[in-house]
Amino acid sequence: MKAHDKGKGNATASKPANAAETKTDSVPGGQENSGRRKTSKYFPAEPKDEQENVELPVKRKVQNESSEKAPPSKKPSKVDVDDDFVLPKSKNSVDVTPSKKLKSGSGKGVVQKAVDIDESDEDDVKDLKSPVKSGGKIRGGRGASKGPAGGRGRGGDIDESDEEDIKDLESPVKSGGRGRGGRGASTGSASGRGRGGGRGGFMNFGERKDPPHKGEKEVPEGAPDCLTGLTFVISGTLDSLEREEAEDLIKRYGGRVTGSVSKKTNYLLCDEDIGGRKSSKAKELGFVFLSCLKILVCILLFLFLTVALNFTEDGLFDMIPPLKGQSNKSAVTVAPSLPRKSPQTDGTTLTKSPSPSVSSAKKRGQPVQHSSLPWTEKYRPKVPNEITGNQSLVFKQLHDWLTQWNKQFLAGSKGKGKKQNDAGAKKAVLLSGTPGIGKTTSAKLVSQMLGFQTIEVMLVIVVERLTPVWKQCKSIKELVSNEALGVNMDRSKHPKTVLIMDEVDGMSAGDRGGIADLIASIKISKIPIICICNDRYSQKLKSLVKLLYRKPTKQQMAKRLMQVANAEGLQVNEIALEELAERVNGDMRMALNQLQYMSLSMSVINYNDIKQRLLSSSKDEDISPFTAVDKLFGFNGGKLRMDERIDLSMSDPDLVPLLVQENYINYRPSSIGKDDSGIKRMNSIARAAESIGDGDIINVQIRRYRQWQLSQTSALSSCIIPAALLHGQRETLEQIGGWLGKNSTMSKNYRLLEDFHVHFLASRESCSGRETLRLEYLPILLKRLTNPLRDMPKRWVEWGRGCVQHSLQLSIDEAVEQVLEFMNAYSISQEDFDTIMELSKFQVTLLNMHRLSKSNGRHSTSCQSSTDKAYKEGSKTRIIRAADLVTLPGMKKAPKKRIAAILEPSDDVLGEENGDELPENDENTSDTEDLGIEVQMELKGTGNSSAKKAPSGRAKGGGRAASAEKKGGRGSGAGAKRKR
Amino acid sequence: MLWVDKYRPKTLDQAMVHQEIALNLKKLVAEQDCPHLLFYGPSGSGKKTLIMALLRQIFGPSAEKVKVENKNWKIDAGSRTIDLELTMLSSANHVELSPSDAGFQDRYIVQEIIKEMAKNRPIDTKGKKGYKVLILNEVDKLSKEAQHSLRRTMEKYSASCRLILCCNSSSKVTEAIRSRCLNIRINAPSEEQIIKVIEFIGKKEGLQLPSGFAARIAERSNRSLRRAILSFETCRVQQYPFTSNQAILPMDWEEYISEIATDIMKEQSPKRLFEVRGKVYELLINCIPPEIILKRLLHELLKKLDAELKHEVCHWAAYYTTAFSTLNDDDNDKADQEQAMRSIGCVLDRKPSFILKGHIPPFSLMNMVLDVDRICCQVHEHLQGLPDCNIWLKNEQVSIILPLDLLSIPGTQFLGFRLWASSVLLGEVDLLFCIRTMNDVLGVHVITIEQNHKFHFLVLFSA
Repeated sequence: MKAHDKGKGNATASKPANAAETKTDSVPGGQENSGRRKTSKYFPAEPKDEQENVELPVKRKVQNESSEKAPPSKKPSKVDVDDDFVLPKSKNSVDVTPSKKLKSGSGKGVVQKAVDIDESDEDDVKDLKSPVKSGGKIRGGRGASKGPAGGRGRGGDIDESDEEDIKDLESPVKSGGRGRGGRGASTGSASGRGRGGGRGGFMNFGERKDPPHKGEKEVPEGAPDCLTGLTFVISGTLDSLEREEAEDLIKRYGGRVTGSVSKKTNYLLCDEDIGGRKSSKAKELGFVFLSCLKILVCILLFLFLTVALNFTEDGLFDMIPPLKGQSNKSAVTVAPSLPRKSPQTDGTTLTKSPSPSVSSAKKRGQPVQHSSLPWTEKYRPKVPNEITGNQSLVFKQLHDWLTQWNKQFLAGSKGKGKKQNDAGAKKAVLLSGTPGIGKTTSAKLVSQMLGFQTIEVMLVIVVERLTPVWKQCKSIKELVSNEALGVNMDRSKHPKTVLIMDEVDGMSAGDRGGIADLIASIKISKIPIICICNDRYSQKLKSLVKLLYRKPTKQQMAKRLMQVANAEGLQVNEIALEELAERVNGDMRMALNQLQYMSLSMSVINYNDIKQRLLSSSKDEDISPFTAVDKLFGFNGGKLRMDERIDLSMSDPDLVPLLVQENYINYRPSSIGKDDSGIKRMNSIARAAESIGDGDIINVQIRRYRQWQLSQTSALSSCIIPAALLHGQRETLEQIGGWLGKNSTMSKNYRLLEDFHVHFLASRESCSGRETLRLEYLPILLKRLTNPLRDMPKRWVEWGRGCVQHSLQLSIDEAVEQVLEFMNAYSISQEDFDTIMELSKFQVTLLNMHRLSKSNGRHSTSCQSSTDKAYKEGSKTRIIRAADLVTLPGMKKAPKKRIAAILEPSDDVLGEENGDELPENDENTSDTEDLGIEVQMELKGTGNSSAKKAPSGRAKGGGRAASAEKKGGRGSGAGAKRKR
Repeated sequence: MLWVDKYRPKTLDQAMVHQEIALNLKKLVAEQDCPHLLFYGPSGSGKKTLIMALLRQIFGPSAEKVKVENKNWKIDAGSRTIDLELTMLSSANHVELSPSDAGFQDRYIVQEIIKEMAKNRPIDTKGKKGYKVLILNEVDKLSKEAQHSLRRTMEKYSASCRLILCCNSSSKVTEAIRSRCLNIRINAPSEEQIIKVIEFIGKKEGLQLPSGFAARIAERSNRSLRRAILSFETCRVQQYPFTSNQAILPMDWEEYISEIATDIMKEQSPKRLFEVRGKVYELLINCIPPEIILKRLLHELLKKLDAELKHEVCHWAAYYTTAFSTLNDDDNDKADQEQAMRSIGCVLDRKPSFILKGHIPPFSLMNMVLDVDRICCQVHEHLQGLPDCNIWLKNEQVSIILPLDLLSIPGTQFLGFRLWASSVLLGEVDLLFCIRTMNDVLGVHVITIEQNHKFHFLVLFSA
C-alpha cells in the first residue's frame, strides 16, 4: 500500500521521463484504493495501514529527495549486477511474457478486467518509479515487489529506514543490503528485499514458528498465471507469510505446491532455515545452494540455477510480475526463472491451446455431439482407462474377480466347495466409497468389457416406496435363480449376466432382515453380484468381498477434468481444476456439474473463480467435530463467513464446544501480530475463556429451560468467538486434555465415594455429608488406615533386629488389628479402602517431597513388611461388615456370591501367609455356606481378643465375627444391627 | 472411632458450644409442637450435631436406630415417569436425605417424599409425637423450582410432617421458605471455644498438649470445629508426643491447590495454563467440589497477589463461583464440571495486568472491630453522595439497592464503595460473593451484608 502512494509520489516527479505511461497515471486514487482492497481481501487487513498512511507525507518527502539524488550514484552499480544475472535467462522470459500479457489483457471476464485496470495502474506507477530509483530498467516486476519493501518499515521503524534508504542511494555498496532499491532478482542473493531491514534480529527460527515479520510485507499483485507450470516446495518458516498464505499466493498465480522435493520441483521456497529434510533432498537432486554472503543484511537465496531454484518469499513476490508493464521490462521480470522447458510447454498447452487436447479427445473417439446431455452423463467413462483413479487397485481386482467368477462358478458348478479362502472365491463383491467417485460406472464398465449383461437394481428406490424389502429380496432371489436358469439353459444367448445392486446400504434403512436375505440370495446365486454402497462398515455387509474405492487424487481428477474442459472448449488451467477437485472432496460427478455450470457464464476459468464459487457451493461434507474445530481455528478461520462458522459449530453442538474448550489454548493466534511477551496472546485466551464461560451459561438456559432459540448464541459464544480470537497456527502443548475420559473417571469416583458414604453412614457413627466426608474426613481416614501398617512394622524392625522373624509377624498383626478395628467401626469395606486410596491418589503426584520420600522410604527400607502389608490387606477382606448387610434395593446381588467374591482373594493370601490355612478355609467356607443358620452373635471384641492371642487365630476370629454379624443383620431384616 | 464422632454430643445437654441454642431447642420441643426449622451457618459449626441431638430429644433413643436405604423413586410427572435413585437415612420417626443429589429433578423428589411420608402417618401415638421429621440437607443447593414446590407441600402436609432444613447459606433459600421456618443461625464457634473442645478431648484421651498447640490448631481450622478436631487427631496419628512446634498439615487437596496457586503466580503462559488445567482436572477427578476448588484457590492467590489485583481476582472468582453454583443442579452433568473448568480457566487466564485506579477511601477498616450497626453506618455514610440508593437493616442484614448504572461508571464513589466492601471482606471473610446474573436488565443489584460473625461477612451482589 505504501508502495502505491510512494510510487505515486515518485511518479509525479518522474512523469516526463516516461511518456508512455502518463495515461495510466491519471487514474483517480479511488481505483487505487479498490486495488488495495483487493489485496487485502486475500490477506488479513494489516492494521498498520492507517498508521502508514499517516506517516506517508514524511516518507514521501524523503523519497522524493532521495529519488532526485539517487540516479547518478546508483545506476551504474545496479545495472552491472543485473546484467550479470539476468542475461542468461532473459531469452526464455521474453517469449513468455508477452503472450501472457495478451491473454490477461483480452480474455478476462468483466470483473477480471476491472481488477486488471487497478493492477496495471499500480504497476505502471511502479514502473515509472523504477527507472529513477533503481536504475534497473530491466525489472518490470520489480515494481510489484517493491510494495512489500516499502511496507517493511513499521511504526517507529519508518523514519529510520527512510534514512537508511537515503544512505543506500548515496552509497552503492550498501544498496544491495538494504534490499530496497535493489530489487530481488538482480541483486540476487544479496538483496532479497529487506526483511525488516535485516537488522531486526536475525535468529534461527524453529520449524513452523510464526513468521518473524508477519504481515509486514505487502503482497504483490501480479499478472494471473505468471507462475503457471512451476512447482514449488515450501520449507521452513517464511519471512512474512504463513505457509498457507504462501501456498494460496502461489496457487492464485497458477503455480503448484507440492509437499516434497522431487525432480519436477522448480523452486524450493524457504527462508534462512535451510537444513531440513527437504533441503537435503533438494541437494541430492542436484539443487545447489549458495550460502549468501551478507547473511545479516538479507536472507537468501534467489538463485537460479539451471535445475532449480531455492529462494525466499521475496523471490516469490518478485516472480509475480505486474500485469501490463512495459514489455521489455516485464519480460525480464517474469524471467527470474527457470528451467523453462517443461513448465513453459505446460503453460501453453494448458492455457492457450485447447486444440491439441480437443484433438486428443477426438482421437479417443468422443465426438462432442449431444451437448444437451449433462456432462456427468456425457463424459461418463466409456473405456476403462478413462476412469479416474483406483485403476490398479480396484479396477483390476474387479476385473480379475469377474473373470475368475466365470471360471470358478460357471464352469465349476460341479466342483463346488473349492477353497473359498481367497478373494476371488467369493460370490459377490462390494464396492464402497464416497459418492460420485465412479463406483457404478466402473462396475458397469468392467462387466461390459467382459461381455456381461448387466441388470441393475436400485434398492433405494424400492425402499423409498416402502415396499417391504423382503419382497424386493424375493424378487431378487427369483431374478438370481432365474438368471441362473437362463445361464444354464441358453448360454448362447446370454452368455453371462451380472447383477449390479446399487445403494445396498440404503436397504438397512428399511428392513433389517433385508440384508440377511440379500446375503442368503447371494449364497444361492448363480450369477456374479456386484453390490455398491457408501458405507462399507455396515455390519451386515461383512460377508462380501470388499473393494474400497479411494477418492481419486486431485491430480488425477484434474487431468480428467481437463480433458472434459478441453473437449468443451473451456479454458481452464490445471491448478484451478486441482483446486476444484479438492473442493468437491473427490466427487467427480460434482466436479463435472460445477464445471458445466461455470461454463455457462464464462469461457475462461481460473483459480480465483473456482475458489470464489466453491466457497459458496462447496460440497456439504459430513463434518466431524474435529474437522469443524480445525476449520474454525485453522489458518483460514478468519475468512469464513458467519453462517459458515455457525454451520461448523453446529455440526455437533455438544462436541464442538467441548473440543474448542480443550484446544483453544493450543493455537497461536494469527490475528494479534507480533507478540513478544505473550501478553496479547494471554489476553486473547482470557477473552476466549470468558466467552466460553458465557457459552455455558447460555447452554444451561437451553438445556434446562429448553430455550432452543438461544442455540445460535450459544454457538457464537462457545465456539465462534474463541475461534475468532485465537485462530491461527496450532502448536501442540503437552497433551493433557481428554475431558471425556476424565469426566468418566470422575463420575466413577463419585459413585465409589457414594458407596463409601453409604457404608459410612450405615455405621451410624457419623452423619456427615458426602462432601464433608471427602474434604475433611478422607485425609485422616487414610492416615488411620495406612499409618499403623506402615509404621509399626518399621518400628518393630528397628526395635529388635535379632528376632525379626517372629516379632515382625507379631507387629504386623497388631497393625492390621488396629486397622481392622477402625474399619469395622466405620463399616469400611475393602472396596471402600480402595476408594479412599484412589481418591487421595493425587497426593502421590504432589511435588511434595517429604511425603514422597517418606513413602519411598517405606518401600525401600522394608519391602518385606510392605509386601506383607499387601497380603494383610487382602486378608482383611474376610471381614464382612455391617454395611454389607444393609438392604440395597439397587443392587440385588446374591449376598452369598458377594461374600464368596470377597473371600476368594483372602484364601490365596492365607495360603502364602501362614501354615494353618486349612482350618481357616474350612471355617470360612462353612460360614459362608450356612448363611441361613442363625448363629449366635459373636461380639466383635471377642473376635479381636482371640486374634491377639495368635496370628492365625486372629484371622479366624475376625472372619467369624464378621460372618456372625452378617447373619445378625439378615435376621433382623432392618439392616445393620450391630451389637456392641 | 474418630474423635470427631466419639466426642460428638449426643444430647442437647451435652453440647459444648452453642449451649444457648441447644437450651432453646430443648424448650421448643418440650413445650409445644415443633415448627419447621431452618438451620444455617458455616460448615463445621455444629448444625448436624444439633439436629441429631434434637431428634433424640424429640423421639428418644429410637431416633438413633437409623438404616441406610438406597431407594428408587418412580415419579409420575405428567407424560413421563421419572426414575430416581437416592440414598436416604431413615428411622422410625425421621427421614434424612439430600435432595440436591437428584440434580435438576430435585423438585420431584421433594414433593414425592413429603407426600409419601404424609401417607404413612405414624400410628403409634402412645405418648409419641404425631408427626415424622424430614431432614433435608443442602437446601441452598436446591433449584428454585424445587424450593417453590417445597413451599406448597410444606404447608399442605404440615399436620403429619415437620421439616428440618439445613444449609450453609440462608441467602440461597428463598424468602418464602425462610418465612415458613424458624430460622436458627448456628455461628461458627469462636477460637476460644474450639480450644476448649480440643483441650477437653485431649484430657479425655489422656494426651499431653503443649501450650499453644490447641490454639494453633484452632487458628488453622478456619473456625470449623470438625476441622479442628480432625486435624487434631491427624496430628496425633502423625506424631504422638506432641511438640509445641509440630506442623499441622493441611488437607491434601488444600496442599495441592496451593501448589496450583504457586504455579499460577510463577508464570502466566499458555503452557502453564495447560498444566494448571490438568491439575484442576486432577482435583475434580478426586471428587473435590468445584466451588471449593475455586474458593480455596482464591484464598491461596490472595496470599500472593498485589493489593491492587486482589479486588480484581476476587471479583472474578466470585463471578465464576456463583455462575457455577447457578449451574449446579443442571441436568447435564457434563456442563456442570465443564463450567467449573471453564470458570477456573477464566480466572486463571486473566493475566494480572489490571491495575485498579480509583479513590480508595481514606479509612482503613481492616483492623476495626465491626458489628452490623457499625457497618450499616459506614455504608450509609459512604453512600450518602449517591443518588437513588436505598439502605435498610433487617434481620441482621444490611440491604442496599443500587441502580445498575452506577456499577458501570468507574471512578465514581461506587467504585470506592466496592473497594471498600471488598477490602473489608478481604481481610476477614473467605470469599466475596458477587452474583451477576444473566439478566442484568433488572437493573438492580442488591447488596446484602449478613452478619456471620464479628469478623465474618458475606456480601452478595444479586439481581
